[in-house]
Amino acid sequence: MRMIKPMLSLFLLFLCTYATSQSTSVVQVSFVPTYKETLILLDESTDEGLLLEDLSIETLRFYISGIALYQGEESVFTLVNSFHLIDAASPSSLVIQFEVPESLAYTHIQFKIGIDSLTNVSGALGGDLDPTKGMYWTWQSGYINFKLEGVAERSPARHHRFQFHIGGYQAPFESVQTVKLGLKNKEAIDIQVAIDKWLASIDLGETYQIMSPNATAMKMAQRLPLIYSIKK
Amino acid sequence: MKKYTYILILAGIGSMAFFDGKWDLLVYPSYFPQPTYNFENNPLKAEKVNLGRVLFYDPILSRDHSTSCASCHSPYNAFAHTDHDLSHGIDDQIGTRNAPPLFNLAWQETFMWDGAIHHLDMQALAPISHPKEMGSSIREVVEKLQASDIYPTRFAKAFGDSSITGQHLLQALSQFQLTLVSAKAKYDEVKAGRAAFTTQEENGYALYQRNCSSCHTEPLFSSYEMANNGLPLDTTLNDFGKGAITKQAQDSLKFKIPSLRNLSFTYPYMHDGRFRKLRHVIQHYTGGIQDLAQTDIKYKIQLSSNEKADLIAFLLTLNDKTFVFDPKHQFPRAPFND
Repeated sequence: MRMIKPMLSLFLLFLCTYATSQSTSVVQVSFVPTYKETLILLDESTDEGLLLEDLSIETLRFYISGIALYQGEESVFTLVNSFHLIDAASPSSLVIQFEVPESLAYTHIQFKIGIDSLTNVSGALGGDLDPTKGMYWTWQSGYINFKLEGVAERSPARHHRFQFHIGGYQAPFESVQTVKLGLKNKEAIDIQVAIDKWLASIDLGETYQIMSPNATAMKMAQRLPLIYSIKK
Repeated sequence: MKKYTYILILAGIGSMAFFDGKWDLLVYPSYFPQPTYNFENNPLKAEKVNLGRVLFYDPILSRDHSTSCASCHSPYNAFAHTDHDLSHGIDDQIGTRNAPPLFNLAWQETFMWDGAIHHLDMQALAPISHPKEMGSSIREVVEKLQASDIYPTRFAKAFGDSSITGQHLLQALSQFQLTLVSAKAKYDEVKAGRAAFTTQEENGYALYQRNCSSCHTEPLFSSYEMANNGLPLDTTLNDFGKGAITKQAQDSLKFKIPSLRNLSFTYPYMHDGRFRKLRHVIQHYTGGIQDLAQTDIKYKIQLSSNEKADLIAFLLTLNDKTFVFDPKHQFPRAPFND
């Protein structure tokens, strides 16, 4: 009797795998964070960040959620339970794979940078949303949608550090952003994240530390969609 | 007669709902509203409640193993910290706010005096991480629990997974705190028809209803909304409450309205514990507010000295000794045998 349940589940799993394996194709979305065309890959085992021409980057992590595929204006596929923590220090986190019906026609990918407000107030969540991931504020509710930390000579902060923790889900500082990109390749979608473009829009000598939802954080959040593009 | 039949039927439905086994971990009277906590995402289970209780009393949650949740939320003080105006944490550091009591949390949607936290599950992150409270981080706590002799087994028993996650740690802490229901004060006995108010308490009840109930709403004795109650800014703390969180001028000096239940166990009063006695609180509302227009208080409450005594007599009927001395909320003496 005890064995029936697992066996039944195995059988069902097999049935599902069999039924779907015939008619799906895999979509692979890869995020490629760059600074002036230099790939940002961080090594957590060293304390030093990635040294670039005029600054170094120590942490780059952001949430991607709500991945959907569009045929023009029409949504044709929505990935369920789509919450992904992209971490420049974890190469495997940069790639998201999922299956779609083989014959599915689509021209665009849409996703959110960050976490929607409902998820923000849904209690303790697991997986990439687990608060141990260091992407949840402690003294107030809310996920950090986008985190960039490093050192730049221009920053007047202690040790010339800069820290951007961009988040907030309540009006007027709802920082989650939606991005929709036209596709060149349907199955292998490489998305460049041009960090230099984002930093170019601010002066690190004046804006170097944002760690709560506020007007400046909001402005910086609104500039995030501009740095995501399909890689040429 | 008709009225009594109605009450009997309601009581019948109520007791079925509370004692069918599913809800016996969360027992509350029929005149309480529906809880606002979403139990679907974290259904109560005895093993999880017990685990949460052990965690609540375990200083392993702090950086130096000195401070537990119960250090500032003592069961004998309705889970507040009597006599301490401001809470204190590791290395004898003093914080900036009074530790609020913990009860009837399943009916609350915002937490902390500034309302900055919007889910009970996430509240524990604040004291765990605060450098003046537990000075640790959830990641560090999870690592320590995972390395301990007892916790992996207990988490497996509660969640079916011996690999400890932040999610399960926070859910277990919520489970224990959700069971902290205070609903057995004399007021509740009167509500249930098992006791009667004295004449003085009855007078005080009427004064309360007229002057206090719009913010300290029955039966929880708080609307749990945010309000400016006219306390002048303490410039040694410069605590602007909700305003500091939302950066909106209209939220400046707004703090979460506390419940009036268990008042005798939870002094001193207000977000910074500035009032040591109940009469200081009443003095504030009857004459201590400088500029009413700047506050959420509608009018200066006029009370004669007899009326003040009556009001206090009523407020004392909100003390719930059964809750405060309930052994199932206290330090788990044989924590690992259940």
